[in-house]
Amino acid sequence: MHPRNIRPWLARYGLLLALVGISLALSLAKPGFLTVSNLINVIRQISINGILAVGVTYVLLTGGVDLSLGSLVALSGVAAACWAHPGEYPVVVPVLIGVLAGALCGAANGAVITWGRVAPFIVTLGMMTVARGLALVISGGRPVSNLSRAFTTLGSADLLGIPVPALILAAVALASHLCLRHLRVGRYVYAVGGNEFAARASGINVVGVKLFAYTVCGACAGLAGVVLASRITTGQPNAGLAYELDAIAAVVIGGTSLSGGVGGVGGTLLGALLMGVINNGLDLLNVSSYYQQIVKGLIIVGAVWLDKRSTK
Amino acid sequence: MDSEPLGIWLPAPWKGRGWARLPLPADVGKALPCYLRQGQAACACRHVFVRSIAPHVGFRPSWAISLLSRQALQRAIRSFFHYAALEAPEQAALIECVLAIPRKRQTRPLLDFLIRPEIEALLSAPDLPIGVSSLDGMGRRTGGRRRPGVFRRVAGFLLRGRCSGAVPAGKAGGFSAAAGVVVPTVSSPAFPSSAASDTLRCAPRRRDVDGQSMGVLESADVVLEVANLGKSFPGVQALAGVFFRLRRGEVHAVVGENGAGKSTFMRLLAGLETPDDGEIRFRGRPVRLRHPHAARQLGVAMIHQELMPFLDLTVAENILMGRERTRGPFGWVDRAAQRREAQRLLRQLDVPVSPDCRMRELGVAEMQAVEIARAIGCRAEVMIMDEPTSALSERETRALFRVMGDLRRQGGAIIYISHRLEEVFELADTVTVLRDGRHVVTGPVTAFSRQSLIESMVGPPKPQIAEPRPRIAGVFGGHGRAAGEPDRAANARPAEDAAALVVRGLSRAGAFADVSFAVHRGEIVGLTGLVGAGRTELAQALFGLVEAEAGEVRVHGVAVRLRSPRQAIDHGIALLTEDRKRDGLVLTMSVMHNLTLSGLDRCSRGGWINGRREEAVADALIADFGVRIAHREQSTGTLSGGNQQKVALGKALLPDPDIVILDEPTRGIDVGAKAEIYGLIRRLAQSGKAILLNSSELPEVLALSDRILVMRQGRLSAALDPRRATPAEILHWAMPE
Repeated sequence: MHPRNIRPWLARYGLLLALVGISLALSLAKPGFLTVSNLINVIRQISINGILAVGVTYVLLTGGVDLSLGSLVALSGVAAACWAHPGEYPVVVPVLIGVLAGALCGAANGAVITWGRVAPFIVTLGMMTVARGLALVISGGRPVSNLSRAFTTLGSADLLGIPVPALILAAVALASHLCLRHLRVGRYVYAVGGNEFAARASGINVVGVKLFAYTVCGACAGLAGVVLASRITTGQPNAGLAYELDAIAAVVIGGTSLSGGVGGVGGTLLGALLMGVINNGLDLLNVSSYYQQIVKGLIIVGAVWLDKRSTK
Repeated sequence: MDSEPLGIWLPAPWKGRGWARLPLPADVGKALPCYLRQGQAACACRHVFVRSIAPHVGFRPSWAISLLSRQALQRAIRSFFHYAALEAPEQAALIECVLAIPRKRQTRPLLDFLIRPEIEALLSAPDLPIGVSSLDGMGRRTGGRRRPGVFRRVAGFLLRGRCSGAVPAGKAGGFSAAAGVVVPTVSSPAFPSSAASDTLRCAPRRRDVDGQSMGVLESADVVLEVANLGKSFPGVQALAGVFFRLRRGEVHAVVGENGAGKSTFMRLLAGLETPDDGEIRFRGRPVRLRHPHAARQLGVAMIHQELMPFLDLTVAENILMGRERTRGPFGWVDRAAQRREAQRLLRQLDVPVSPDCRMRELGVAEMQAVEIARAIGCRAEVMIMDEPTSALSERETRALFRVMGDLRRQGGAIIYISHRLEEVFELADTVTVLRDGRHVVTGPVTAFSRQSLIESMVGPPKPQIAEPRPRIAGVFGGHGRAAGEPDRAANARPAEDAAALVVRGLSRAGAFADVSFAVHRGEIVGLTGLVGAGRTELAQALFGLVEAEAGEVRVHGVAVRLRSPRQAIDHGIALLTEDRKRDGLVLTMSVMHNLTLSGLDRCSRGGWINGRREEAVADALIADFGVRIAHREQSTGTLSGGNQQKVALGKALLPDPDIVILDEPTRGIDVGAKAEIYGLIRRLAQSGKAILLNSSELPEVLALSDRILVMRQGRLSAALDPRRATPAEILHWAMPE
């Protein structure tokens, strides 16, 4: 291939290439990697981070950021758990409650950011603390346990051999992909992130689009919180610490620009998958979790650096 | 030697054909032998040219002397080639003369630019008509395409007049210097750095070793010199071939129309941009200003047109930013000393502001004054003032002028940019006019009148950029727009009710005030004026991007409130924004997605975009607007300026508006694309749309508009008929009084 043509190609498929390469290397080093059970394990591990990352993709595409995700996970998990005691409500109710809690917080983020004109960083930083506080208040500081079986199967059961959380992630990702690619509002998300002024001058309701993005992001966080609560069978007010950073890292590795307007759900999924595979691989290789953190950090920076270079 | 006054023989196009012997002015006569003795044949040539030839080719002698620039020479020589059909040997002689001038690298581009075809013809000529003189040692090979011996020949050529009064026998080959002229061999003395570009001023103050008074280049005065400066931005040549010289104790005004390159020029001087071309010399030393700090260190301070204060610091901290008064080894800021210094500067400027005030609490005028105090405090040798008085009151302006006078007396040099020509005449010693990024003329301010200055800013009448707008009677129906109808004033009554857009008394504080006009269907109304006259704000207010505070907008006779672009679009108004990159296009998106952005409802149902419909819509627009792209999925950021503008236009017009506001539709695009955009605008008008064309480019406004509105300082100052208005007239109405 001509070197001039390799760049756009690399920019497009580089991440996939890296993922395949690393997977191959791992399967050679550890035969245990390339087994169905291990791969299912990987997708189960990434599902929560994946759902969060898909949600935050919207926000990053508008050029914003959401730091409150981890706390929203805890809040919605606790909220859902409170409604999930055995014999009270059908399982739909706690799920909806959790998602709604997240969506409301996200909408609040968006409202303050757009109408109050406060920087997203600050607003969501505030929400991070507020939501964590709310989670502690609701739960009284103790984990909410004694959850119905129906609720806990959500996080632990398999459907056709695939873990339910992974199916949820797939559904969320597919819906988001369709939304961002084929719905008007999705197009507007890109436009607002690419050039907010031009978007406004094109008659786009910028405030509405941003509100939408933050609300969807919050809802995804809520869903992730529900899944987490059902997986660990308790509503933990201290759950989800620093989850937002992993989610943002996955999005960024996936090629979405922090300044907005560029990227997509596909990249985000690959980014989350890459992070999951590397985590899993390091586990298999018996690398200490301390070192794993270092590796993860380097990968985040390296991926973005490479992306910047290849798209330049 | 000879008792006859010194003179030279030159081809004399001003006399028709043949040669003329020009007696040299006395100072040249004295200076010439000195130059030649020093081996500075180039200076000699130059001197002769400027003093002797320039007056004959349409340059006033006073200008020629003070122009001091290659530019003058360029003009003179161009006149030769353009207006006189010289015979080859004559041209050759001339070119030799010019070739002798540049000894420095930076003058080569000038020459290339100037007479490249002629030079090439000359160099390729098999037998050169110019003989080689016997003045050995005068020539110095400097490489490049120049052949050796040029200096020698030129010196001989020049001196011939001195030795014989006869017309050269046979033009070709008759240029050898007369025997007996003794010019000592020179070991190529270094030129005074600015000599090559300096006009010769015979300054009596310097004497050579013999004590003999002689003409010496007076270059010590020159603080800043700029040669052949050029800068281009993607798609635009912002500045090209600018020559400029600033002396100590001089206020040098730089004037020009909008977009003439003044600000770019100043940004180059202040190190905010780096030039692509040419050289900046500071005190004769070439410098590269890579960042503002470098300029600062050299002593170049700039007062920006847009203020850049630190709003939350105090006045004193602002004034002394970057050169705090400190004590001790750790840089402890001495607040008391800071205050004293700030106070001193403010008092000097007669600004009643406390140094302890926060910047945020000040008004615009006071901020401007503080900014000026800051620059003065730097004790900069060169101070660049970009429209410093735009926000100042009369009293502050007076104080500023006083301070500028002080600075000048202390030997500071000031570059002054202003649209207020009265200030220029009051303040400046020298004026440089730029036009379209090129140097037009430099001269003492006394050589100009307001009228002549405006004329040189506008330039000679350009050939029409396009055929005059066809007058289509049909489209205008009963609106009574007879071709011979006199100027339809902004508040013309007759057809206002039928007008597509009527604006009455529209105002917005700090932007525009009491603006009233009407635009009819099928009509192009040109809106022009200086940058900052409030035109863009007006356009944005009509599109709901900013809100007008008072007044009324009627669309097809119905009063509307425009609070957001969405509302404006729904009322059938479209805006092509001023800066397509900043606020027109989403560069990260594809061409197709940009095109359909403001009209997605046309290709979607229930929020779901129909891909095929969208492609069809985009393809239609691409074809309609002649966008040249490889594929509709191509990223908008990679397109050329002209194509981007077409995309922006297509995007704005997709919702099929009745009223189209075009804000600088051809800014920064090449000529071909401009012509296409003009065609599109005409077509739009023909299809019955009401068009408000906001443009700073006078030729464009003149060629396209049915009526021209001129804005001055936020108000409409005139409504003109483009068939009769001249650029100078428009500029007259646009300039602040």
